[in-house]
Amino acid sequence: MMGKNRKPAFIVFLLTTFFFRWAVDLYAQDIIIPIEQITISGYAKSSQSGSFQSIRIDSLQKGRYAISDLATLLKSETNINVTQYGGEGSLSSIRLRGSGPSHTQVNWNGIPINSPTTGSIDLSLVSSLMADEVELIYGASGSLFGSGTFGGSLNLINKPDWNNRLSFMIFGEAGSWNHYKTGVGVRTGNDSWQYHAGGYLQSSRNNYTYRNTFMPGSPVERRTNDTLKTSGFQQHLFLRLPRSWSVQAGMWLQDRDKDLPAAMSSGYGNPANQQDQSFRLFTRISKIWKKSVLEIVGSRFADSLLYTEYARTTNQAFRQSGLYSGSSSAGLSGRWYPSNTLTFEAGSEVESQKARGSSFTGIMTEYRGAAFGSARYKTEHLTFMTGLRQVLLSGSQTRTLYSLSARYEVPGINLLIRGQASNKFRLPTLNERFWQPGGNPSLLPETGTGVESGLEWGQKSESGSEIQLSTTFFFQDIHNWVQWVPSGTYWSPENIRFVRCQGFEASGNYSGKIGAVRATINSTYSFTESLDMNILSDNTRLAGQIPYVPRHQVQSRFSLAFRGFEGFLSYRFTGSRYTTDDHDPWLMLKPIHIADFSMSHKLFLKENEVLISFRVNNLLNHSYQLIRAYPAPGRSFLLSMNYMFNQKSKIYADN
Amino acid sequence: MQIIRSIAPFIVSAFMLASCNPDNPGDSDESGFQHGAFITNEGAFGNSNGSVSYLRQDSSESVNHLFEMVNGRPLGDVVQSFSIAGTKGFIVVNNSQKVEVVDLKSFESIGIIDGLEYPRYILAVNEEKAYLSVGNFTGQILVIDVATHRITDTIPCGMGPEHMILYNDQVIVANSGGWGNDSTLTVIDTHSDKVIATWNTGKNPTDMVIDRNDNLWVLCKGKVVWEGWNIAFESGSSLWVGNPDNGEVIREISIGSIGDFYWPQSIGIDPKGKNIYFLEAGGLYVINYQEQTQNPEALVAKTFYGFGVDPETGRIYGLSAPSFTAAGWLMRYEPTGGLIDSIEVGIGPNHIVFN
Repeated sequence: MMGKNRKPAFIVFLLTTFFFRWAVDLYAQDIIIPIEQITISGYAKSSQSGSFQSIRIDSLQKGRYAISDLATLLKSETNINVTQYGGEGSLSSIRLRGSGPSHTQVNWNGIPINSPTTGSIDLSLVSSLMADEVELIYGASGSLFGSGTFGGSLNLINKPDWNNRLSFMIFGEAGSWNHYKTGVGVRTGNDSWQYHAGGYLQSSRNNYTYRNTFMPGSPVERRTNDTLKTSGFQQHLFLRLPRSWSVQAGMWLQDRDKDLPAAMSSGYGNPANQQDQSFRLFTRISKIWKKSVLEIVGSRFADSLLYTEYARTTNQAFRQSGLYSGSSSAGLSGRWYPSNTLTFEAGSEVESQKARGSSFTGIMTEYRGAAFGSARYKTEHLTFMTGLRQVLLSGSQTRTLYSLSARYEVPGINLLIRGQASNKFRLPTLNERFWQPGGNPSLLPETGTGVESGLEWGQKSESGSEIQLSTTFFFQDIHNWVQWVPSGTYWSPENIRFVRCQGFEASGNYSGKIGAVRATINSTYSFTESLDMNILSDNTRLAGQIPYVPRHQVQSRFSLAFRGFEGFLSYRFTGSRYTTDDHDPWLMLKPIHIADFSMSHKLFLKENEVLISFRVNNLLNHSYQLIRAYPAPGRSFLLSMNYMFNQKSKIYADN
Repeated sequence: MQIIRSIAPFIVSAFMLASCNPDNPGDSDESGFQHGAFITNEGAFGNSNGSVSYLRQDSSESVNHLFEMVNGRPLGDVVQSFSIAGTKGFIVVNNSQKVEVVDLKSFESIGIIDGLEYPRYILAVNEEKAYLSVGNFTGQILVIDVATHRITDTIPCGMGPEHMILYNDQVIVANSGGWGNDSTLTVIDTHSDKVIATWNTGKNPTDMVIDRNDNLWVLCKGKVVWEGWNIAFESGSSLWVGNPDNGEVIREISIGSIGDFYWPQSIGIDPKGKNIYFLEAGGLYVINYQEQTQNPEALVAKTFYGFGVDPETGRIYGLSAPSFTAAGWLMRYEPTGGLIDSIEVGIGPNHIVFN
């Protein structure tokens, strides 16, 4: 699965793992953690985004999908706009708040994992197994996260449960279209060290049927050349060391072999295949004093992509292209808590990005650096935060980012008011600058400023029922939006768009008990305008909604839980979407109505837990496309079983 | 969208009635779409948004998405070209590997020739037979029975066959090189459907016209050597002029420059056969049939994606594709280069046929 040059790193990590375990055993008796006044939740970027609209997908929600890719998880559990080229494992992108696929930064424990070449990440490549928690911060601050957060930040977080002694999980799933998935996970340790590891294997033929609307009579056809084979492995080590040092180390290995089906209009094209491999490794070392924290972070990521096209008649590979990219980063930051109300943070980070492949002339390299600082004032009801980041780029370019945010909890009425303003930017990717032919080295960074404000209200009753309402308004301009356009003999990226993204999101949750039955209702609605404000002289673009951004999206979910049984029904509506800049009505995608249903039963036997789940996706067998001419799957059935063994530490169990 | 589709036949009927010429009752709804210009809009590759636009030469409004409007379904991916054989229209949809056959009067689909590998252009040899060029490497000419839409024979030719031209009882095929290189024309006898000669020309011939002196003008886009996806070597383009009876070269005129690969692709001629138009980096150029060198000044200094010359008026129909994410434009010019009007068509207009 991994290239030879990566094996040493893999072996080093394993050896390091065993070394740390040995070291911890030696010093476990001396551990003292003076963190009475310091709360470290996740990592700094995440914990300092409290004034931003956010969604957190917890283990319960993730449990419904067990080991699934992030595209499936987000489409099912959130109301955000995810586009996908057809069935499971196909290229998937997130378009948050009317932005583009490269406008959402995806972080793994605080470190961006967006591709240096495309600036985005294929969500179908990211398994939910790789993280304990998934957090989405809308319009995340550029001063906290850096480049590419016009849409927001999607954070994958791994964290230890220090009370865990031993737990393991075995998972199996079978479903329509030869879908099989299996996974294992183990967590072991004590209150001074925790080790997590997990892996999965999946295969799907994806040979679902669909209506081919390009053929006379829209006949039902079966998808071909869409087979997916994927596997992944992750491990994490969390250590509490003497003198308040702590270490987190994580490793991520992934392999995907995906046949690429043609658009349904493309008849009998040459079959193609894409193989992706990823290797990611990071280490975070922290030192905690009574009123301060020091963090050192280092990471090394490598990704490869191999595209092969086969001659239809001979099945011989006749065209192949490869792309290899990697990045290394190091960061140093410190947080100081001079009082219970004040927090200051300052730090710096450096990163190198490299890529090579048949479309680059040699190895493309870029270096980036940043210095940042922030201050937070937090009382019982008021939180105020400001941040500043100075970005240094290859070629002595600099860019300054700032953010201001505040949240106020109105005493006595459970009302939260929050707001933020920040400027953002996105650096052109290596593809945009150096792709041959067409790359444009003189591209400018995309820039913009955004504001948002929101209200949240919640009420809990003595009977256990709970209601929450929230709404958020947002507004953001993006200048110099990069788009690939025809440039004589080939396509070339240019800074041609000025886009205004504005809208609001509203949600309501209710959870209550009727006897022994717990009912939960959750509904969200989002209105998004993403307006291209340019009017070119030859009328090639109108001041209207940009393609693939629906104005209206609705999601409602309803669940009933009773003594280990749970029934779950969800409905999603995605409004019509333009596929061209000129809003050609013949080329619009129709609205989407998707209903999913699941039933599960959880059995407990002391420390053992078995979850059996039956799920129907696209219950109404709605025919739809997220990308024009790429049919999405119809109704499918999934049966899964998840066995978990969970042994807490003695102290925890006794309590 | 559903509403638009349901009322589409009425829109088409209304257009046909509105376009009725009171001075010529025959040129009315009874003739349907038999008289006018057909523009193929290839669409953005992989986006399946290709289309056909229709324009009466005496009108300044086009009917876009004509095929979809009449047949209630999209056309496909990369609509390459349109040809007429008798009362039928043949729409070559390159990346859908098919040819859609329509009745020219109603534009209703009456057949599909599918399973084709890289189809490019169709030439009507006569009312019974048409030739289709296919293949991005070693190419073929497929013989199509116009009545049954079946492929009745296969004729081998050079690399990447593109445009064809009928001259007396022979069809001359430009072997453009496809994704490789070639420098030949294949000559086919239309009675036997056999190759009778192969002539050498300039590098990578792609399109042809015959002037008033019965000289064959071949547009050669130049040689390109690829290394992976990158261009390792490129030669200049040329106009190769030869004798269409025996392939003897008369002269070769160098046009364009190194670095303008892919240009030009299209060549056209005025109704009198005197002025030859071609696309080259920098715009649309014209050369008189007796001239020996290219005029460095473009007749229309605008980048076109394709063009055609009205065989009746000599007006030039330039096809502009400024963006493949929005509609393109048809720009009409007087033969002297003066702009007449601009008409919105589909995405990526590349080819125009007059009937």
